[in-house]
Amino acid sequence: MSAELDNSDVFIVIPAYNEGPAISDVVRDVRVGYPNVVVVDDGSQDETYERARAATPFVLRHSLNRGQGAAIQTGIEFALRQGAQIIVTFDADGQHRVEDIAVMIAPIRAGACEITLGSRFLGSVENLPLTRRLTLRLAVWFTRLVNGMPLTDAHNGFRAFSRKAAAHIQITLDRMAHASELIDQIRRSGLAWREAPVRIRYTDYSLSKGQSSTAALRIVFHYLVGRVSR
Amino acid sequence: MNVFQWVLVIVFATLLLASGRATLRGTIHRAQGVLWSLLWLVAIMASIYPNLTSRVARQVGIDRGASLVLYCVAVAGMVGFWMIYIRLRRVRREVTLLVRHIALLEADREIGGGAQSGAAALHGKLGGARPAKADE
Repeated sequence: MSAELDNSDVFIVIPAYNEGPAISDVVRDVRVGYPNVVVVDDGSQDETYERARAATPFVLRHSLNRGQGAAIQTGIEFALRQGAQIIVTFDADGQHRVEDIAVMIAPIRAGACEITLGSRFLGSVENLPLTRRLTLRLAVWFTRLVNGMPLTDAHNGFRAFSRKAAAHIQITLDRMAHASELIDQIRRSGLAWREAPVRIRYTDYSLSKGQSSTAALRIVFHYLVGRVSR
Repeated sequence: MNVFQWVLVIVFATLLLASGRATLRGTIHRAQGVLWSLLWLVAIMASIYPNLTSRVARQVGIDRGASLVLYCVAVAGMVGFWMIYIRLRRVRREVTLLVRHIALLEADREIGGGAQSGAAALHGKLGGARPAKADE
């Protein structure tokens, strides 16, 4: 299929909240190889929407801030409506590398799996602060225990879905707990998944926007309540 | 009866009238309205005859009537808090569904394309949340 050659069947979904400074460059870099970039502005108060609009025609806007999980779900639904065959979630702050997108979608194109999960621990990490590393290790352990999924990286926004897998997913936990919910759904769906090595770049900019380690506890709490009250 | 008892009786009597009226008008479910009214009645009785609480307390093995009242209020408070929390989560969910629908609708208008759009999609999406009950 010719769509595979120019990657026009691939939609890159980028949830963004107050990423005015970085968003244009990130979108432009991605568009070089992948023409369909969907930015979901999650109620930003800065010029995220305008900057994104200038870089890609596919920009959606949440009138209220609902959280990264909600933004991703909105982007996925939009991409499906546009006929996407592969959907990739990608960070807006420049932590992810465009080169890694090919690594992520290759197994899906080959039919080896329906979902590819990026893992920084399979790949390499630049400038990962110790506290962040420990928190992530804890998240992996928690994920194995509660979700029963042997992942090496439990909290990575870099994910790729086949159309079938994307249609199956329904993120209901809006904020950061959506990552655990997603893993739950993947396990329960029985869909084939793989991890792929990706490189995460921690810059001063992205670190300042990241989650604090105490936020991790809140995420765990919200996720567990979500499981109990379903 | 002392002043404090009078204040309690007036407060609970007002609440009794309010819940009674809401039940008759159908503003709240019959069963819920009856239960609340019963609660306020019991509260009025306990205010006029404080020894009632002592007698009930001793029946269930608690020292003092005041302790019994305290425990009941504490338990009711915790249960009530949890129910409000759960309801709040559901409201948040509904808001997100609405915000998403608006975002997709606007995108449809500006970008176009896509097989499913418009009001028809709204009913499907929002119907996914549980339907509202009379008292919400």
